[in-house]
Amino acid sequence: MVKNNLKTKKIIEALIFGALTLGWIWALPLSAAGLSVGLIAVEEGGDQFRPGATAVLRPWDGAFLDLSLWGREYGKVVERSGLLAAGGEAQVKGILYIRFGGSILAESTRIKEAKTNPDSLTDSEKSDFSETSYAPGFMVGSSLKILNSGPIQVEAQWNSHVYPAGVAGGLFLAHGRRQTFTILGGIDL
Amino acid sequence: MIYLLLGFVMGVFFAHGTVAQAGSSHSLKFGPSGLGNGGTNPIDIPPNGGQIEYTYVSDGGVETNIGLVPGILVGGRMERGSWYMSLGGGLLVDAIGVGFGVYNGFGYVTGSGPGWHWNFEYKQSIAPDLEGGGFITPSAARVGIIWK
Repeated sequence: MVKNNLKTKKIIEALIFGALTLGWIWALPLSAAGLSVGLIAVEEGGDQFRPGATAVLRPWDGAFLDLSLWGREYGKVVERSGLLAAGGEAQVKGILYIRFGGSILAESTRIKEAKTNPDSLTDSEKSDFSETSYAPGFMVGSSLKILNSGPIQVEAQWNSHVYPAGVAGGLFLAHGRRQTFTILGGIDL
Repeated sequence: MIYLLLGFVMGVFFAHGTVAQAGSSHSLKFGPSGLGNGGTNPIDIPPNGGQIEYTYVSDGGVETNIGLVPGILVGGRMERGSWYMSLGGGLLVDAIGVGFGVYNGFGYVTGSGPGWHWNFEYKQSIAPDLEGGGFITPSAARVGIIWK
């Protein structure tokens, strides 16, 4: 039974990532597209920042797909996190833009066991050494489009990704958040 | 102090000229604060002092926010239909420390015209920590009522 549940979970994970990948591919051939890459500083609710990498695809004017990745290793513990956000942006004034949309957070924690051959473990035993979780939410943010003329784009973003905490999040506003400061450079596709 | 000045200048710049603020308003909002010690707790019933915020927005689109968290803030507000965005600076507070910094708010107001309306808002902010170094990043997600 446990083995079947793990298989189901893996299938669901594969479907989620498959759908997200299809979203990227679907967005690519559209006109007025732009692609930017950059660096982020991520704050995870503890007033401490971690470095990461990000890519922003603009399938058309006023829409975006953000993918951000970061992680760390300490001792035998490996943490990997990813954010995928999609939404719209609108000019507020001059180079200042507002951004809003949906966001999915994926977090994975794994314990390295160098002396154990993973192939010798059952799925249940493997789950003792790793965990992956997902959280859906929304994002809001602002963007300064420092350079937005011609094919080259340079911008700075300040975003908050908010993930309601279950029923308590819906009724009593409890939530977690990932705050990102981003510097991006990109081109029109 | 430079962050406070930067935030204030940004807020005034933001508010000046193109602010489509439709008259003044008062709002009282309730909701948990991000204090820099992990995720937020559910809002208390009744809300505690750190979960309440009062905001006054002038005819010119300059807003004044008074609350324990994120703090005492002044900035500019730009409305776009039922949505608004605010930007400014002030004194920020969380569980880690205190500092002068900048904030960025995003809100939604139900309905239109004068009278009572529901108001949802999320605020993000950052300031250098005056006590222990580093940064503080208090935030808040709140729901309340607004009187226009």
